[in-house]
Amino acid sequence: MKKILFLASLMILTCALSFAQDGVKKKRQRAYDYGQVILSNFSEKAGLPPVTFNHWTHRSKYTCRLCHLDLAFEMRPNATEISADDIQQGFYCGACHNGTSRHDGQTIFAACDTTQKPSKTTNCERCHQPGKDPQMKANFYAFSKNMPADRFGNKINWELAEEQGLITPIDFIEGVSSHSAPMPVQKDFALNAGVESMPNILFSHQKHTVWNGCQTCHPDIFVGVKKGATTYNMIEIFEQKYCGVCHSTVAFPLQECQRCHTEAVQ
Amino acid sequence: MSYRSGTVVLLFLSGLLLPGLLFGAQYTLPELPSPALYGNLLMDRASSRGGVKPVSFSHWTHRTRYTCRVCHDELEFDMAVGSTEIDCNDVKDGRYCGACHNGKQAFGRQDNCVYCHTGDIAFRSDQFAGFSRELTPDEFGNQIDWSQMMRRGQIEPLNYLYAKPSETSFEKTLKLDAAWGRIPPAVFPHKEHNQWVGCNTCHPDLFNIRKQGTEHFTMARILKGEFCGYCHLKVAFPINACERCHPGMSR
Repeated sequence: MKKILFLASLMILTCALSFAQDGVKKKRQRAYDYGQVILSNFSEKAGLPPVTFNHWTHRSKYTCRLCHLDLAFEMRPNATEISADDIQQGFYCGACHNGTSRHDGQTIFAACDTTQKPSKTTNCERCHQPGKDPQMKANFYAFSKNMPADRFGNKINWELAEEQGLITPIDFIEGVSSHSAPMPVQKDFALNAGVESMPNILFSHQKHTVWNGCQTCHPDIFVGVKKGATTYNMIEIFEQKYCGVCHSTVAFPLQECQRCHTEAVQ
Repeated sequence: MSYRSGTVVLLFLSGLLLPGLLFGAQYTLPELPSPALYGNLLMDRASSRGGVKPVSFSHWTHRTRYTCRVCHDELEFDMAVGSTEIDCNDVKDGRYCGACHNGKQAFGRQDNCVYCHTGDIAFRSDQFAGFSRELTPDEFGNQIDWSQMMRRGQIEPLNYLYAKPSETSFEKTLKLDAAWGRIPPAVFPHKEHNQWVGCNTCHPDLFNIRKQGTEHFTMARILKGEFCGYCHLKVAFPINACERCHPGMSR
């Protein structure tokens, strides 16, 4: 009997395997949802909904480097394991969300502030959102209306917005950031696409360092000692490795093939 | 438990084969609607619940003016009917249909609810005969050879509304061997597709670059709406036009 069961399950498994491939389309994130991260290390245990974090609200004001290096936010959701206590001590979100720091003439609301009674402005729900926040969607549309359009992701060309001075992301917080002496920006370079008639990739250090400095990518994602030291391919990138660390979920998505594969075919 | 490895391998292979035998051997081509109805949709995600009739939409009225990428990339229309969460405010604020249907480029929303909320999938089909008379004929689908018309410059659909897509220089034509010996290989021209859609429409979701070879995208799966069937069953020319992909085929 056991034998039959085993053989039957083997059959079913292999049948399923032969179907479990691609060929169907995943639903794309909407422009206002792109870059949204749900954090739930300790929230649910504390009886709160998980934290909804939107990259777009933050990257319009701060560089990637500021949070991911100076404030030590990991690149993967939930990998940082932030607790309310950390925030109250002024780490992570608490570096700015402390009720005293200011941005653009406004005080930044305090996160995880247990000294005050929950109210409209201090309540937990501002981050621990119980459901979709329709106001956030409306805010996004109001913000993106004045930004240069892009085709995918947030549908905002962040690079151009920064270039045109529509946003001026802050890269330094007094008492938190420490800037080492600047290094000369490395030259742009081409990477061979390795597929016949596929345009080569042009990589611009200049464009990346505005947001990331050097350390966001080197040495963790790309060793960067010498060209060719790290080998990778599109399959790994689609699996959110290498360029895909940022360019699948936050920076312009991998759907924009020609934004990297730009070099004319010889 | 111990099994002869031969038995296990045999069962594994038959497991792989079984779906092919079940679905591959007996597929029938779907019945096509009339040319005036091909590519027509009725969207009823929330309309009926909201007390209005479902929205009727015709691809043929739109694709002479816009490529697929305008609506399906820039305007964020999902490809499955009823999966895009469009509401009246979106349209009013210039999103989705409202990007053009604002009373300027195309009729607007004011007092015109019934223009879209018709509840009739055949809406405007009486105008189709007059519309298609001037166009390059084809055998199936809308019976209009859209790609031929694009090549000849008879239609010049817009490629974008807000952000210009980059030129696609990848124009390779692929030759795909058929699983059955007597079926000539299929061809896939990247160039023809690039005119309407971007690389991202198909890669990596529909055609994963990981998989080399063609065994996994069988006609049976295409008929279920996967792979080529994603567009070529309901909107792009239907797969009934066998020789269009398998040029060596004769009927």
